[in-house]
Amino acid sequence: MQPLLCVAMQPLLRLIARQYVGSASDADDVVQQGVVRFLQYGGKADDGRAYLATCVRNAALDFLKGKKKYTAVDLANSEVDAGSDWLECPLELQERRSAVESAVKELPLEQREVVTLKIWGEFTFAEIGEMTGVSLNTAASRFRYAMSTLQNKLREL
Amino acid sequence: MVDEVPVQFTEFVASFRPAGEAAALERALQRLAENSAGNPVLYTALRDSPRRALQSVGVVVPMRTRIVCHRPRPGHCDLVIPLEELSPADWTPQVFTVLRRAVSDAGFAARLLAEPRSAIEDLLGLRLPSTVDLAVWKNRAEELHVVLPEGEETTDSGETSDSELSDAELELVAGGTARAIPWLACGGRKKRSAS
Repeated sequence: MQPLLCVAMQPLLRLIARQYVGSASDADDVVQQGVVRFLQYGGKADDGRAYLATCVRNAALDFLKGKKKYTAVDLANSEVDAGSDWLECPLELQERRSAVESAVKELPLEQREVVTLKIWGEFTFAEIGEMTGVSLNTAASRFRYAMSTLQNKLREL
Repeated sequence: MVDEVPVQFTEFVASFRPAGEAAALERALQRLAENSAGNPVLYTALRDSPRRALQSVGVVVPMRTRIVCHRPRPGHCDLVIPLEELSPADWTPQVFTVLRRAVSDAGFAARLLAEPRSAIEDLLGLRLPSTVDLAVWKNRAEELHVVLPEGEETTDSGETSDSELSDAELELVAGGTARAIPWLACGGRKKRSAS
């Protein structure tokens, strides 16, 4: 059943990858590498979903490592592809989608990844903490800061 | 100190979904239905609670998405217009022609939904047996449909009845759609071996 999980999670995995790498095609490469790792080692994981997301996140970090020697500052400033759509919605809500997407893209990476994993991945803060190497409280705090920023930016909607 | 985030705002942001999510879910659901052929446990799980069946393999279905499973019934056929571009490898040629037109032509899709029989007859230039009832569904991000494979129907008790049905009952189930219009059986999906 693991390939089925990969099929269903592909859009989320692509969204996770795009938090770190600039272009959509690079993100697709990262997802592919992450899925390959998952299929090699994922059988041992209790929670396939969280493990698959972690594999893709690690593949994205390795991609950045290969590109340049990255530092915490590089990661915080990691470029996002501003031109392409991350999210989808009915036609009549496109303007709002665009505003939400732009606001998310402006968040610092550490907050952006927590928002992505929590809102669209529906992972718990404990899982997110484990995936990103921070405590549950730090993950929850980053999420609150991010949502507070988004709320201020999107007040007009 | 940051205030708690209002639930409504979180729900508002969550209402925008990762690009391609609905189509990926459609693919996963279809694959699960195909895998349920010859797997009575999976078939029953999918029939009774498709959301839970998907969850059991780790797939989370967004709350806003409703999943409807159509069981094979004698004298009835369900067709689903998919979200995604079609592959001829997955469909019988007649159904591929119908669905490809419906995906690319909104006017035809509307007619197919409203008057499936005449829409199909006009497009393919044939007459469908009047004994077969047709229903057409259109997949949307908020509602996904899947047609379960034939020959796996279970009794109300939840036990697989495939081996318990009499020959006459089997004839009735299989004869409903598959015999009258073989290319419409299983929603026009080509049969695949479970993977």
